[in-house]
Amino acid sequence: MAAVGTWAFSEPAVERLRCLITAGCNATDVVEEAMAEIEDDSETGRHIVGRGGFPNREGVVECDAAIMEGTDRRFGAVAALRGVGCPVRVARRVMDQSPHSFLVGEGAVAFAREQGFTVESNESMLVHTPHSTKAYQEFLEQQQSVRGHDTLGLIALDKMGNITVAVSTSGVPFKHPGRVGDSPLPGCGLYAERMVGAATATGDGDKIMCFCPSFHVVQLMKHGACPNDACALLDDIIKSTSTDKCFEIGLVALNVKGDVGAASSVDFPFTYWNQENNFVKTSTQAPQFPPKRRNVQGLKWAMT
Amino acid sequence: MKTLLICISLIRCGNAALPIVINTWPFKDASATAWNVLQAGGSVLDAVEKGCARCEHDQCDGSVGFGGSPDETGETTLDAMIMNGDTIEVGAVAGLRRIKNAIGVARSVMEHTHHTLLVGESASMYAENMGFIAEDLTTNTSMSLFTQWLKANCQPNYRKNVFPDPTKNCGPYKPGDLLRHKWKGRHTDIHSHDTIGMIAIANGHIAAGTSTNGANHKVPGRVGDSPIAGAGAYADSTAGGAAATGDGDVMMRFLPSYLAVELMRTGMEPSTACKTAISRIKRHYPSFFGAVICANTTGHYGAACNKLPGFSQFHFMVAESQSDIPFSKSVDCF
Repeated sequence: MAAVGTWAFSEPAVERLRCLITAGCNATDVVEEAMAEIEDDSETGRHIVGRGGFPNREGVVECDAAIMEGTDRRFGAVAALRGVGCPVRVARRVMDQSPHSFLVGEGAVAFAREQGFTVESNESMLVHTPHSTKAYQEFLEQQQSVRGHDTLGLIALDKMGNITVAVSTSGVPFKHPGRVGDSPLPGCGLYAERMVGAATATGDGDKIMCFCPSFHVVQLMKHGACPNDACALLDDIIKSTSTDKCFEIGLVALNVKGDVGAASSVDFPFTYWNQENNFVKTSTQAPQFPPKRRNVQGLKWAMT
Repeated sequence: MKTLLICISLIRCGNAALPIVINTWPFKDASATAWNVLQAGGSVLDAVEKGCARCEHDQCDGSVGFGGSPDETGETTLDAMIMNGDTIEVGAVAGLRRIKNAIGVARSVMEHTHHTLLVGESASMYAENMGFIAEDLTTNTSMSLFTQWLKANCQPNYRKNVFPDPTKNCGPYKPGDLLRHKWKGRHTDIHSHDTIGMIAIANGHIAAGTSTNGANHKVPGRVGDSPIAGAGAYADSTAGGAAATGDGDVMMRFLPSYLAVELMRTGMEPSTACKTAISRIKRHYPSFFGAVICANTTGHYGAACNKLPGFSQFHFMVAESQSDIPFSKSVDCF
């Protein structure tokens, strides 16, 4: 049993995961619960998640979320979803209630409404929290954006060995309307594989989604790498970027033994719990630029 | 002379002539368009863009471009992506309304914004602002498909666990009891080919792209694998390119294009890389409809497909310098 969350603000969510997993709840249910609580809390909107999150450049809050089970790679995602305070719950419905995997924009809103979610006004989603109101004003006046790509990613490994990962974000502040980043895309913002583990990415989603890092990390774990060494994939990503400074990216992975690993191009706190240690701890992954040599030589993907 | 002839025949048999364009399905005009762009000195990105755009214009098989695959409301919306294998940049659109040249908009997103994917009505507004012409994507054909579907009680559809019973009724629907089961059904009509996926390789550069009007009678807002990098297509000039076609709702969760390119990076033959990508999906969803094409940096190419009743062979197009005219190849499904 174990759980991981991106960034320090995930600590209450990981604590919640610890309680629910220890009580015997299913990985998917606990991830949905813990994620939805953070999403719907306007106070965490400053971390670019859910209600109270930063709007797009027209002042509208649009959220992306996804959930993935390791079993059969079950997956559900929504993007550019307006008016729903807990997008991960809609993503779960896409996974459970539809043969589709991904719904976007107006169609995602219509689906949410059909599924019984209240679609709220943008005013209600903005909540006019001090941080977002001020930042949006500054953006309008000075075209000055807000630094930050926080995004909440959560991974849960339950008593039965099931692994589920979910991601939620309100997207890069003041983005173009309809812009979707890596978060809700399989293999990019998140990936899970039964009997192996899961990974989640956070950072500059416009770049991350070109590299499928979560998928690749899980494949490396599948072929024997520990989570830390798998996340060292970041070295290859950094090398392939042509600029002298890599874009912002944090990767965190959890395998089915409960081991965690991470890599990042910036200071990247993440929160972690496993059954063995039985305490919720936030560590900070230091950026690794220039890339360090890690023990990933000779890892070959199996031909199956 | 004898040695030279042997070398030429070896090259032909080894399928390793560069430059090369390869695309899904026997969409020969798309191949010819892309090849002509390369011959005229255009880039691989130009070739992929123009080649896929040809299918958008020609409404290839009704599964690409305007006038096909109406969603539950009768509207046609488009998904497309384009990827630059040199810079690992991507541009993509999904749920694009009112704009016929979806891959053109995708390339515009890549080259004129810092974003990668734009969706829905906002993507259409972006396109219009960038000079793309707004046009109705509905035609008599797509309207007819839609009205016939309505008359058939909206069968088949992509609804489950809803009320009224979606196997007999149209919507609107409300959530019903959740029955946790794996979606095994296949609504994709295997006689209606879908998605053009294209790879172009020249002078050490690789580009890939896709364009589709998505699944017939899809839930509005549904996006499949096509506009997702690593799923619908992937390109890395240091390794190769790949593109996928088929049941995007399933395939997107397995990242077949990214997997195939990474396998080719390790030295795996393209055919085997494609086959591995298909196998991964087949293991969990034996009845899925899908195919993958791959090509590596030396111009070797391959393809693979999942065998189903009525789908035992997959046809794709190749254009290369050994032949002036693009030719059709096929692979047996397994």
